[in-house]
Amino acid sequence: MKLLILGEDLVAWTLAAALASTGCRVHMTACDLPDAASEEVEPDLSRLLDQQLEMGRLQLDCGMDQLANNSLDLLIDARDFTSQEDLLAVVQEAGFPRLVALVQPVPLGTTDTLQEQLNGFSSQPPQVVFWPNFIQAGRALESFTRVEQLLLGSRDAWATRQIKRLMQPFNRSLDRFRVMTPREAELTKVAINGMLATRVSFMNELAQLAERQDIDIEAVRQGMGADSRIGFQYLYPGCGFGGEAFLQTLEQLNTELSASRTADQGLLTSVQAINNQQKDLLFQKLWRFYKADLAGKKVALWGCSFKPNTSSVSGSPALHLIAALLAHEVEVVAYDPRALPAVQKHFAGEVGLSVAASPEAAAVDADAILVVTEWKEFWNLDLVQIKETMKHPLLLDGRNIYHPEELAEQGWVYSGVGRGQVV
Amino acid sequence: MSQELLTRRSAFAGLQALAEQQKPLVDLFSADSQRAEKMTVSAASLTLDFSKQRVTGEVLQSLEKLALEVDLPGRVAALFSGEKVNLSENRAALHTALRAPSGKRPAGLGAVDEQLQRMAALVEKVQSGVWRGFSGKRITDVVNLGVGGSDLGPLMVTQALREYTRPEATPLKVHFASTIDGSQLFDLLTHLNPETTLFTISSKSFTTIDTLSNADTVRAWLGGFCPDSELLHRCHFVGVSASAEKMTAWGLPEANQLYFWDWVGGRFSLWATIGLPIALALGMPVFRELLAGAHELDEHFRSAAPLDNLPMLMALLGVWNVNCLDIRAHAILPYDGRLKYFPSYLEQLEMESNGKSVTREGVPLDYATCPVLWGEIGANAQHAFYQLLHQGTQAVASDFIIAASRYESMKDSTHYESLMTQHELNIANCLAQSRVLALGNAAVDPTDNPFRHYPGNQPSSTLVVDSLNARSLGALIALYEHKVYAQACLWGINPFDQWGVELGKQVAKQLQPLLSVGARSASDRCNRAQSELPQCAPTRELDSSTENLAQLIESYRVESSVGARSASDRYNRAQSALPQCVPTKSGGQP
Repeated sequence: MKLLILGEDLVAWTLAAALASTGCRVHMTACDLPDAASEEVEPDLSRLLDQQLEMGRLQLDCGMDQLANNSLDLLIDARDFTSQEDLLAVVQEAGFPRLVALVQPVPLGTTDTLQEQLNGFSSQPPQVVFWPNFIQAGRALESFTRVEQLLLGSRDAWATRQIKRLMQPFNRSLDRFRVMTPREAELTKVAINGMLATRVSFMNELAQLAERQDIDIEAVRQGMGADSRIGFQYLYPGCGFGGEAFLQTLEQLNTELSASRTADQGLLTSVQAINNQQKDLLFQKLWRFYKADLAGKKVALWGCSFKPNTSSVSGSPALHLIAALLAHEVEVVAYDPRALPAVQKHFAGEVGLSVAASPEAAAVDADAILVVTEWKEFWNLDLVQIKETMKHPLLLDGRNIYHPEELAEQGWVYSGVGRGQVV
Repeated sequence: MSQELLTRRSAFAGLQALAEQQKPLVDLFSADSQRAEKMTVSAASLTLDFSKQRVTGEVLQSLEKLALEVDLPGRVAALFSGEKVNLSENRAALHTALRAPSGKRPAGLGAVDEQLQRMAALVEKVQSGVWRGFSGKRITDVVNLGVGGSDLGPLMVTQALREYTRPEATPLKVHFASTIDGSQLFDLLTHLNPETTLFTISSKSFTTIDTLSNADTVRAWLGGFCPDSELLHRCHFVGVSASAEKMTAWGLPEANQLYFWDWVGGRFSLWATIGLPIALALGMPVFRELLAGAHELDEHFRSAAPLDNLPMLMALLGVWNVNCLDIRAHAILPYDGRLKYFPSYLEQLEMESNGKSVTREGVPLDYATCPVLWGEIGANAQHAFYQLLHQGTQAVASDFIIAASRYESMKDSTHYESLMTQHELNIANCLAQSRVLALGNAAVDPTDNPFRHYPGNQPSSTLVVDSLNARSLGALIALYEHKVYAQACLWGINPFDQWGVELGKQVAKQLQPLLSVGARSASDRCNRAQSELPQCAPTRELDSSTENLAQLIESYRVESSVGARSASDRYNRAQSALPQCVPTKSGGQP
């Protein structure tokens, strides 16, 4: 199969590498592979891309010019949705391939509208399907090749067969495809994210209550998760979720929901508001602890990516916290195993932010440590030693990775989300 | 001194003679089909049609003579140049300098820019979420505590320009509390979150009891959630005043103080830092646009000849109505819901400025000054007091105010056409009312029903604003400010002091100690307290009415004080649900 993948982010590169590895001839519009350290790739993905490029199955065309006369079997648009006109334009530019797949969340009805527009162009129009991706940053390649479910919004039996065949190598033991209309698939995709976000925000709201009532939210979380109707997934309270795609679909779903409402704000508005409050939480704790007198303080920020194992900082609480801290003249020393280049780029030219080579180095002379991302390397550090190098032993744990009793014994002022000391 | 008196002006004698021969408006209109064209003057985005005033060409000529005899242009120059036009307080009145571009201000007023910049920085901090409450949360609500000039201007402008709110200002809700009895605060405090509410205390002297008693109530309320008083002052209060000393004494840190100066009168102060709630509610660019609009009218006021000069013309027409035609009432009738608070704003501006009965030097007047001025949204007032205008026994002059274009931003809405229909209905009503007030019976079919008799001949002006926005509103407010000043010059009075307001304040201070519950009687308490309360000196015996009222009120209060408990219970419950600024569990502080 000969296909063109549009887009230059993690989703596009994951699709390109995985599908090329199954023997497809994959064209990309980029000129070069992304830098191995960038947010667009992950280590295993980067290696696979190198391989596929070498084998010649992956081709970087540096634009779309060469493709116009080249008949494509499939166009995969993995770019973020901008407009209906833009979608039509790229299908035209790609020379009307026989099959078009949209893999990023789109406003409800986008797929059908594009199909209708294309129907007007010829008697043998391209077939459009909505094939939402479930690629997760941090385990991108794995999440595509070992996907739990495959969702396909298609109105055409031929188109359905094509996508199924394409995914056959990853879908052998059990057919995980669930085929529905494009509109159903569009809503399903954003609804899944909405539900996950709702669970997290609900836990965060509970954590606020737990804190006020001197209850350890961790015990509550375990008790809730043990109920099989609920399960353990997405039940961690914390200092806010990020991720561009996730936040975007949430925003989109909320917009769609608001459009069908007249006045009152809906559930998802609260979900987003709670998440925004959580992103600010560690700043608020610091503010309260130092009685609103933050200028000149020094803070170590552990973890900047929006979740572990990714170098992406999009929508990360770290960005929000750093901005808030800098605005109050707090000196911020950030450490992250992979996301520091992205952080430095984001805050280029701003005074007060520096980066450290290790969590220990970041903590030297600090008035507080803020744990923002639960990278595995933070879990078993020698905190007793680290505490000795700090100006004040204040640890604000946005991911609840430490034990309150242990840290209290070590002499820390330790406050998590819904556990530890109330700050 | 007496040369200041209006009645000694030679032009005034001419005007009085003309008043004797005046004709009804019906006749004036039928005599000259071009009357309206001749009697329309424009400046900035404002156009005044004064053809429904009872004036003729001769009257206008005499009014112009009066203006020149009083040397209005010279007096205007004195105002702008910073001369001490406020004689009784020995001060300049330089509100025009506040809205001039920084290069065009009189020398030595660099502080104006400095305070504007500090205000802009503060606004940015609050709107961007950098400013935090005691618990570290960003500010969601601002309550302006102020009264009179520190309330009416910002309230009026904020209400009028809401549709122009900038995106950065939309999340912030701005409220106003002014009344000394605390009733607005009482309502607000039941639903505001103490963690996320910022209070601006606006008072030129920073002694205004109305405002400071509200501020004390707020401080007590916040103290219930955060006992750290220093933290509260730093995170929840901003002061705007001409007295840095008093703000500091109240507990405001310097960073939370914005200043203005004794040469800005309270009712002329919305252009200074008193405009803070405007900038917070609508955005700093909107505030700057307001200043620019006012400046445009300032330039007109200082350059146009008296009869082409909107403020001067309105002032002259006012003097003609009051002093020649004996019309002692003036209605302000904006046909625009956005200008809801404009009449109350003008009530203060005009009546506090020109409600005087001595000249600038203190010589008693032998003629009337500011008429009783009141108003309401025109179309609503039609269902309230217009009956009196049409068929009552009082002569009333009116200002009709209307915006020509409206709802431009709604063109794509499904209800745009309906809104347009409403706008047209509104215009029709505005024009119909001024027409009927002027022409009376002549505007309708004749009838001999005595109840359907309309005398007409009530004078009015109609002020057309091309479109109500920050710029035109700035010009509109400046127009009335300058009308007030020009009128004060014509009457020979000082519009910038307000000694009448001071007396009531003093007496209230004397009475307050007599009124706390528990005093057996007003005079008893006064006698007991005499040593600590010099104002209870025996020479100031109370009149029987005051004493009786005080006793009556006290007897009611003693009876009802039992029922107060349930409210405090509710308050305590609400308090326990909110985080405290001081950790309740162990080891919070360094």
